[in-house]
Amino acid sequence: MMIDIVNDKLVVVDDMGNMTVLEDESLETLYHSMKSILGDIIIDINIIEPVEDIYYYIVEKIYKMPDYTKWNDTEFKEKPKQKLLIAFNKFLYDEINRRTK
Amino acid sequence: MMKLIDAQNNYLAIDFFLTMTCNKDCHYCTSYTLEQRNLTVDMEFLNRTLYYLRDYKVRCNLLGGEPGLVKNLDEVVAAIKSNPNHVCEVLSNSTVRRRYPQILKDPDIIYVEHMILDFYEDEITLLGNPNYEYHDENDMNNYNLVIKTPNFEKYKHLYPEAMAKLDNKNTLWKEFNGRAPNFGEIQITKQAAEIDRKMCAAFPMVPVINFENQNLVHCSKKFANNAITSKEFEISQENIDKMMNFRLFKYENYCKTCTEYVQPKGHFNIKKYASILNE
Repeated sequence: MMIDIVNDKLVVVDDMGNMTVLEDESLETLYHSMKSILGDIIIDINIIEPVEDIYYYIVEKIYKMPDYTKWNDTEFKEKPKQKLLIAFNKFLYDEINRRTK
Repeated sequence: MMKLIDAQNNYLAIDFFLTMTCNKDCHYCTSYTLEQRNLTVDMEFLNRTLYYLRDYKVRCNLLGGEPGLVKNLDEVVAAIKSNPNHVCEVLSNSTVRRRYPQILKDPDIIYVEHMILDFYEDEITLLGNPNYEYHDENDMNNYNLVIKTPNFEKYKHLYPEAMAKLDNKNTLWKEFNGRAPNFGEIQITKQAAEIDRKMCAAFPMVPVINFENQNLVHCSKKFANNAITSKEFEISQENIDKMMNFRLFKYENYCKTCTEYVQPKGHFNIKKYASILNE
């Protein structure tokens, strides 16, 4: 299973190459929130590596409270952006895997 | 002059428990002893700690216990002020106003006075000198701190004059929280969401430098309650670096049952995280 972005939508690609648009409003909202912070988003399981817990927490907080990103103009530099992207990828894959199971 | 809001938004706060000795016994406080002890700060330990923190933007909250009882408080304040990365904040029950009035005249020191013990039907009990007035609106960084105890909520309407005096930008209103020993019976705020407690665990609202044991304590709440001991760490450059980069503290078992108040918008706002993680 793989997750990808097609036409600004999150899609799940199964082992046979079949694409299914992820019909999940919360994850869609998270994706758009992360995009507003990070700019371009890459979804790739291979970039996942351990980062400090705080990055996972920030992603989870945004997922649970989408307004969290809107209260302040927030500018992350490249390094924290990279770690947030990793945390976002992990969150996304964990969430989809959890649901699949 | 440092504005309080800038200090809150851009600096990580650390409580410096200079001494556990206090001259008051507030019912909602468990972070004190009436025993007179450790009233002179070990300057070698302070200077070493400040050196480890030298490159980080830190709001050093001097408290205890009552910092006004510390004999060399002037020396402590001067050491903190010598580094432009550090903001000095003093929380006192008004003993500082009596013994170190110069602190209130220095706008570079954020002075927070916690002088109300509680509200009752027939009086507001004060911690300090009854002749001391609440701080009027000022640009000297002098603040009133009022804890919104259950009694405050119950009786505040009986004191319109006091409430009017406190109604200015120099009054800080603090939610009542888990520091009261019988908090379980009179809980007025819900436990914060798990994610907020996780974020708090990574860097609490205020971790503690304990000057009595000369160590670093994860959380002032557990340290204060002393029921479940909060994680403690040696003061070293490595541990300070880890702490300031969110790598030292973990989500502990005591965080799971913690009832400390976290504002609904989250532990810290995202701009503060960005500011720190961008360093």
